[in-house]
Amino acid sequence: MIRDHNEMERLSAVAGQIRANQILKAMGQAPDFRMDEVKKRELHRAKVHGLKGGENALFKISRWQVQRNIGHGLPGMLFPDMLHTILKGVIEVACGWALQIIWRISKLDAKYRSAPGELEDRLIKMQSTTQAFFPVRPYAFSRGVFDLVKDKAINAAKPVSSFMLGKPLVVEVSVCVWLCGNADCIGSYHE
Amino acid sequence: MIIVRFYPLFELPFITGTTLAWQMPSLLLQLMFAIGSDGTIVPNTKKWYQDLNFVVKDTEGRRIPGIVYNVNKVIVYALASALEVYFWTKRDAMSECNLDTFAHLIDNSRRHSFHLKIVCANILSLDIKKGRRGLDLNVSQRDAVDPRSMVLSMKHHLFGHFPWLVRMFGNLDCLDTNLGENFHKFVGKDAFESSNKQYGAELLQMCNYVVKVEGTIVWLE
Repeated sequence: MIRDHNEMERLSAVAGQIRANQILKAMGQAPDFRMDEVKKRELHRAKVHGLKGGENALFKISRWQVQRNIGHGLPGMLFPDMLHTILKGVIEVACGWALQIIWRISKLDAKYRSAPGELEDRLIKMQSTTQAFFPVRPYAFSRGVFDLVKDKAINAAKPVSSFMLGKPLVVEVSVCVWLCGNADCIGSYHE
Repeated sequence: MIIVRFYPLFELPFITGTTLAWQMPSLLLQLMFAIGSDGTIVPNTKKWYQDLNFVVKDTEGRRIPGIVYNVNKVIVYALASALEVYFWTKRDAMSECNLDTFAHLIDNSRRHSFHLKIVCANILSLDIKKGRRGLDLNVSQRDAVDPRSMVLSMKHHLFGHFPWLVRMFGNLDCLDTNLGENFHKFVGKDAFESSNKQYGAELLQMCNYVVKVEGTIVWLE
């Protein structure tokens, strides 16, 4: 079942207009307004669809789903949340688990001891300013990627789900001193 | 020799201490290519994992060898599948056929994430103190994580509802949470930051800030 957004929006506007006219008539400002069967039917339809007259019809989508038993539970009632589901969800977790594995193998196996450093070297050499892979926006992780992950997460004994929360970079604050606005200085701290 | 270079004040790294959401796909892409498949970052053979001798219990409680993974492939495939889903969420429009493909890609990504989580859990269960003396390959059996008890997070589950939500609400770009988050950042955080933060006076100052930057408070019209 597909929801007809245009029809819901029209219905919401019509219901809002009828309600406004009813109020105006009670105040004596719309003497010509009459509530006929067509208008009653429109108001009834708006009520059945869970719409409030004059409000944005998209506000009532979840209730509309629940009334018809077509919502897939709570997730089906929610708007698709790209930010927290994909970017800060699946992608962040995949990157974090990969970094956890790399870090732990480097501690376990002497053969891969230099793997984190090698990875960060490769990342630093890979910096690009052109957007070659649309819609991925280019960004240079000039301080490496293991710096993004909290120490607690990287040394955890099981896969953790929250990685890139950042850490208070107190050490950097104590070292980096504001001196000038020279643009050449930016992004080359760890040398 | 240590060279300490200086940042201008507005570019100091501690100001933006977190990894922003828009940087995540870039991190994923770069990580995927940086790990590569040459086996220098993580082992690219099944033998390395096989030597760890992971065992799992079957339904009757007997210990049987666990699945042997190629760690490099597990990582790269998981990253690539997540990236592919991200590419598809950014499409301008989706037809019914596209939605079917999208659903398959999501299932694919969830499966690869599942394997990545199993590998991650198994490797992290190895004792790091023993590892300092080198990996002990003489252990005949190590308990692996039971795949039947392993679940992915709520976010991976929500992810699976996306094709249906596209049918319901329309294309994903028009309902991106980034819009609301950016709105909140501008109207809430930035505006409050520019006010004098005094109770009772801050709201008008925040409105003035928004009007000054935007020209008008369009969303109240």
